Amino acid sequence: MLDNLFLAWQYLTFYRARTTILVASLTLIVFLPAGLDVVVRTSAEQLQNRASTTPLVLGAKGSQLDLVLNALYFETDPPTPIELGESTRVNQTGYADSIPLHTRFHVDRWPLVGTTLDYFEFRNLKVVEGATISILGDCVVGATVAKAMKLKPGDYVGSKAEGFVNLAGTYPLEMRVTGILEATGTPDDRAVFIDLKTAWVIEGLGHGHQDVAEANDDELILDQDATNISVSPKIFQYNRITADNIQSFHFHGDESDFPISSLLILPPDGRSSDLLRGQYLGKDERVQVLVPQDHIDGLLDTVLKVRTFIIAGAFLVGLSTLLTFTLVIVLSLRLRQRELQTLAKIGCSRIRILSFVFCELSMVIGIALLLATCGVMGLQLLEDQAVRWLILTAA
Amino acid sequence: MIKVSALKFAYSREFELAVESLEIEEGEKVAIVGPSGSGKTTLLNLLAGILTPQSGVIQIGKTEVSGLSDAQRRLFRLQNLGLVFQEFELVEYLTTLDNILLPFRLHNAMRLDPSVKQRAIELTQRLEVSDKLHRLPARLSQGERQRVAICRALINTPKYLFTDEPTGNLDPINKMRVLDLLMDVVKSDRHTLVTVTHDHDLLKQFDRVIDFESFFRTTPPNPEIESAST
Repeated sequence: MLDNLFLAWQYLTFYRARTTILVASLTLIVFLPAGLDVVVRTSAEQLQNRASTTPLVLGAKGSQLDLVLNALYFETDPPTPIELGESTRVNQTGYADSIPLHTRFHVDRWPLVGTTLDYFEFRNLKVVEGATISILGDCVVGATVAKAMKLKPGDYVGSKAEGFVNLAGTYPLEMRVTGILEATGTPDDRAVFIDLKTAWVIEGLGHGHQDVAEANDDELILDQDATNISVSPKIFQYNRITADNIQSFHFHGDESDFPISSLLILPPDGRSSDLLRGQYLGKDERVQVLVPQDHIDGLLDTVLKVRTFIIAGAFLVGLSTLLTFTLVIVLSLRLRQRELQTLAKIGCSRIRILSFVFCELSMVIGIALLLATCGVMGLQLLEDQAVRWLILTAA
Repeated sequence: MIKVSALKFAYSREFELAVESLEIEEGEKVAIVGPSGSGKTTLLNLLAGILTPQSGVIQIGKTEVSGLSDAQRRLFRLQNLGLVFQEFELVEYLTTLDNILLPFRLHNAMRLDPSVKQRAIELTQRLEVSDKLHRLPARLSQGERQRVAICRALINTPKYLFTDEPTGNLDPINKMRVLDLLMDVVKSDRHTLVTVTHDHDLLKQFDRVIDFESFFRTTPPNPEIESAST
């Protein structure tokens, strides 16, 4: 047996290019359908789990799927903003509580989610290192973000600037990391969480600046009366909230008009859920209440149909590759007839010659299966990414 | 001793070889000469047990080769005979050393132990290819390839060595060099050598020369049969 393996290995390594092509083609025909199946299955499980634990989502009218995916995964384009007042409206119905989400901004490539402490309780998110958000400018980071950015409590992270050429745009705010969340295997691992008010500071609705009354610069004050004071844009605005300057931070306008991306709605039972949804069916309604599970099911139906077509296609391509593989082997055996005859003339039996060839094929198939298995296992390790690759990027 | 009697072998109806009687003594060096296509290689293949005669007896040493089964003949060949082919027939993906050791990888009864490897190295030294042990055949000259083929034929320490046009593909200088080296080994190790050749320059090195056409009866291709079959 060892001699067979030795000769087979010598043959395969001598014809490296041919062996590589055969191994690569066999690997692909195994890996493509198996890998796709793993990605789809893992994604489906993740999406179903996330959706099933989120009873209702409220947001601006528009793409329902985008709204649901944004509220669950934070990573798709943010939906048209709604006002925080919608949260009060939901609470006033008495049918459910609501948790606001603000998902417009990012830290590096990670979504920056403005919310309330209720969100952590709702998703059962625990701080494993440090403490939770306590003041304006604090943030807690998901486990994946902490690992990727090598963050620990006490570090600072900056929100990503939006459009440097837009003078009216938002400016980066440096936020203090107060805690690291326990890994949950959900999109929460890949997010940075801040208080809703901190999100509004980044949005420019609240700010802190040097005390105008104490400034010794006459050019700072443009106009002043008993109730209002107009100051020059030259005034220094803080881009990091500290104990020294936190008192200077304030918001202009009515908080209930401030923007949020969506609301997670938590009715205590099905009846409350139905009654609440009924309240939002009016023709002139500017917002919509969605059941995430329904939309994820619809999405998965489509994905599963596409998967079936792709796997059928991969099967046909695989069949064609197998036929080509067989042809290559048959032609190769014909080309090797002289070599095989030499072995027979020296004293090798036909069965032994067949076993050489069998060993060669087994090695090629074995290596291909090993590579395909490694590929599929690699995909399983990246299950968190799988959903993003397959669903979120497509959506 | 090699003994052949009443041997008959035919390829369909187009070629028939008959050998009434042939005896080759132990240690004898016999050349069988004849033109190309006369059936010399067929005779050598019959003696080596590669082909099976329709009738007759082939005895090599104490073994009646013609009475052995296919499997027994293969093992007999591996253990007792050395074969050198006209086209060298080295395995292109094996190095010189692995080509020489090849017979020991073809049957479970052949044990490839360190002493065999040592013998392979000694043979390459005697046939002057020891500096090419790890080269592939494609990187050897024609003369070197044939010397490696001779090493492979001798690796099992055979009593009987059958060579088919061993210098047929070599230039005149290489031809004499290879033949000299072969004869040195055959003489010192007392092999019985049967060579078929159409090259008359080689004959003086042999103890006996048999003219194929006058000694053996063959039926050459029959034009009438050929035209009838087409």
